[in-house]
Amino acid sequence: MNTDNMKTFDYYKKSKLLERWDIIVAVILVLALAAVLLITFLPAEGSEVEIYKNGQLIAVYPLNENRAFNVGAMRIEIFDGKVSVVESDCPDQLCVHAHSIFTAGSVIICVPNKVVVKITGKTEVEGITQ
Amino acid sequence: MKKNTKKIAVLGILTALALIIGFVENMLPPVFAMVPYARLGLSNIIILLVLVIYDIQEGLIVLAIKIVLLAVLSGNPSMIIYSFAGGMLSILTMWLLTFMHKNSLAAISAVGGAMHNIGQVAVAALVTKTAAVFIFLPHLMLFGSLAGILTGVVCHIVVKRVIKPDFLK
Repeated sequence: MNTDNMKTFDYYKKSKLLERWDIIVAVILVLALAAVLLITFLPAEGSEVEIYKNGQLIAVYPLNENRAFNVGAMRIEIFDGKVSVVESDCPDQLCVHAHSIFTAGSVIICVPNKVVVKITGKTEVEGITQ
Repeated sequence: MKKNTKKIAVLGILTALALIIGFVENMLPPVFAMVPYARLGLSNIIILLVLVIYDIQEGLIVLAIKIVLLAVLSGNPSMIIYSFAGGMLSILTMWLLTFMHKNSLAAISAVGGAMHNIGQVAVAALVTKTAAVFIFLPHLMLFGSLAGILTGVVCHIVVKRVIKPDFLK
């Protein structure tokens, strides 16, 4: 047995259940956890735009190609990786005033026209549990 | 010579213990119902104990044998790569911390638990080529540290009460 072993063993033989330095360890752990939480739950990049009308998927477009198209009386534009509704015949114009969306999972909904614009991305968690 | 023989015998017993603890733990239902894939990692008690009474070389040997044999025993060889990544990361950080003589075993074990999950998830992300598995990391790390505290406390009790003061002499 080398003497280092003896020192370590002796130290833990005499150590208390919690030591003063544990506070620092706890703080580091909590900070690390917070950092991981922040990183993992930052919005993921979207890849495709799904258009639903009356709850049914009617079109899918890639987010990285600029285009504009009509869904009924609504005009939807994909520009610079962002989607926005530029024109609509609905009374409140909420969908037109909504911010343009670009992250996976975000949606623009026009209730009077029953249209949902949704961005999908690679955030679906695959079932890796084992 | 005599000491060496004793050490080999003790390491053999501890390896067997780590193995059987891991095996029984695999058969038990999940502890935290919310996260069924989170395990207590009870064999960490043995790994930490080896680090305390011996050193990193002995710890690595026990860990490696335990991982390979446990994977074979539970008929799931694909888990070797995950356990290995997690186990190595965890044992190295725990060794650094035990070496510093500053923290309690509970805190060291908590860090070890968190590192184990980081290693596992990182390898899972590499193997499946999906960064999305990192979504598991926050709660795995949380439960990993909690489980680590538990195993650390058990190890503390073992060091204090079970191992005799003249064990290494």
